[in-house]
Amino acid sequence: MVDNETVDKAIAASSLSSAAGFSEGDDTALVQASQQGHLAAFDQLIARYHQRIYATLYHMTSSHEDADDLTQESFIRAFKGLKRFKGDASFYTWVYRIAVNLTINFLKKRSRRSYHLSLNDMDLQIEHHPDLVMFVSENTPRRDLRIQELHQKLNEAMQKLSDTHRLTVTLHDIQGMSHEEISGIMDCNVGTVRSRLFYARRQLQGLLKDYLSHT
Amino acid sequence: MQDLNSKDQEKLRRLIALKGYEVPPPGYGNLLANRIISHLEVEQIRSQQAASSPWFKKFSLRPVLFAIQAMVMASLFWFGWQSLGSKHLPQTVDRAALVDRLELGSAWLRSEASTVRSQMNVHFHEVRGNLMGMMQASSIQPTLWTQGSFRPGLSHLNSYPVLNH
Repeated sequence: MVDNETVDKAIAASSLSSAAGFSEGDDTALVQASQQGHLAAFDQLIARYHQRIYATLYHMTSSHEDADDLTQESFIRAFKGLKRFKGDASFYTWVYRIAVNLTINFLKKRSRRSYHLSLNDMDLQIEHHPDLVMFVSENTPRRDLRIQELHQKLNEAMQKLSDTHRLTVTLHDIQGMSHEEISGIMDCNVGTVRSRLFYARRQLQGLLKDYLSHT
Repeated sequence: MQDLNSKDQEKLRRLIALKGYEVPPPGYGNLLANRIISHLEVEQIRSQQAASSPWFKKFSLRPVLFAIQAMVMASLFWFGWQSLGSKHLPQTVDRAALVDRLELGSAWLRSEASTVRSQMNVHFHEVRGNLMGMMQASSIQPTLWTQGSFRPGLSHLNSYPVLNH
């Protein structure tokens, strides 16, 4: 059993580590407290990982609303299934797996209907990024439209990839995860991750050739 | 795997990385976290309430009542069907025996009816006598009293009586 004092200590330590920077080492105490039903401890775990999970699911679905619902559902399922969590993988990998499986199942159901892009709900904090200047070089009143168009093209190209390829690209090229981390989340070996990444990039290169050839 | 040269790969990687700048509006993260925790809190409270309530409260009577009703209906139907199709019904009736039984039955009914009538007469006289006595002895006499006008639309006049001088 985890007593309240231990929970408070874990939460205090977690808050300090969050303030200082990201640390996965002390997830164990928070996970144990959450397994006993302490929501305050689980709240800390949500605070640590929800942004990255949300971002992954957003890039998988290209929809703010769907990513929002799926992130919420993932954490709820994680909390309910915490008793089954044995600690073989890190909590982070485990919750990511839940989110990814949930999203892949969701996308299978959604594949028959068209998806909608919800870029208007997003905050494009990118206007002066040097890479964007490279891809959208025209300094004209139509520049904002060109940025919007670029993001839309990127999303459309991502949606044309298979779910597993899109997930691999999202985790590696957008989230910056290593091949090993991705293999843990996708439950496959590193070679498979590399292969998926290669084929996904080749497909993306064909889909985005207009942007690549002009630069 | 030589299709992508390193320069193209780098360009593509930088282009895809631009998607990382699509972020939800400020403050969204806290809202999401609060929503998840609120949802879990509500579920915890519900499960605690469900665990502490007695077992018979979890048991809904409605299906049982429905099943009993259905069984009663089914058994009535079955008995009706059996009696209609029964082979034990007398096929021929002895006329003389039937008349004897009917006469016996009517004589019994007549005697019962006269007994009940005489008993009712006695009770009626007793009750009427008691009521009259009570009414005469009491200072409270029955009166018929109505408030206000029966005419619709004039009810406000009843609340504020106007004195005509």
